Amino acid sequence: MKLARVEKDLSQQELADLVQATRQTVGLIEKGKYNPTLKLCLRIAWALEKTLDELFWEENKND
Amino acid sequence: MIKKKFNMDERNINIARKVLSRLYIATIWMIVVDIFYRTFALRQRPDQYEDLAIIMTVNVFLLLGFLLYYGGLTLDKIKPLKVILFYIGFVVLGTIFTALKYRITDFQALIGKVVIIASICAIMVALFLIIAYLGKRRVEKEISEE
Repeated sequence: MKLARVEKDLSQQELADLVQATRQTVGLIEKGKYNPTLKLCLRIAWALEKTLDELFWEENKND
Repeated sequence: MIKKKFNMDERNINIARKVLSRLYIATIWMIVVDIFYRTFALRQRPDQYEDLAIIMTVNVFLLLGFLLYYGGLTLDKIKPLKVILFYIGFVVLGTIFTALKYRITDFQALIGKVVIIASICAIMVALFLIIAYLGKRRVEKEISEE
């Protein structure tokens, strides 16, 4: 997500404003320390023009 | 209003809700401790802290009612045995409180009160079951809506 944000040349604050969240929340999501709701995930995906897969998908570590 | 004023997002709201619910539980425990303190340290009679008893009772009813209506507790998960235990718990607590409040030592007099308490508790349990049913119907309606 951080990569996608930097690609769009957005600061954490700017992205936060676009998705109606706080800068701290964006920072915590990027660090993997906060699990956003699907609603917020979608807002972030729309703002960064990416799919949910591209932003949040992780391979199963157990495989 | 508060959400906008404090610029709260979903994470802030979640944290605020967690803090509020934990403080709510802490407040209930503090009231329980206060009742024990008044009973055993200050030697107060139950009728001297009737206000707290009313607050606690109303609190429990509202808590259960809201949990049942808004789906915090679902009817599917409520087993008949749990309802019966819940009912017995209400009757026992009600009897203890009544016996202490009116200083009833006579068994016959207590039985008379137990009948009244059991009837009131039956009405309350029935009311909770109705609320649970209405809550379930509300959720089902939301699911079926397009």
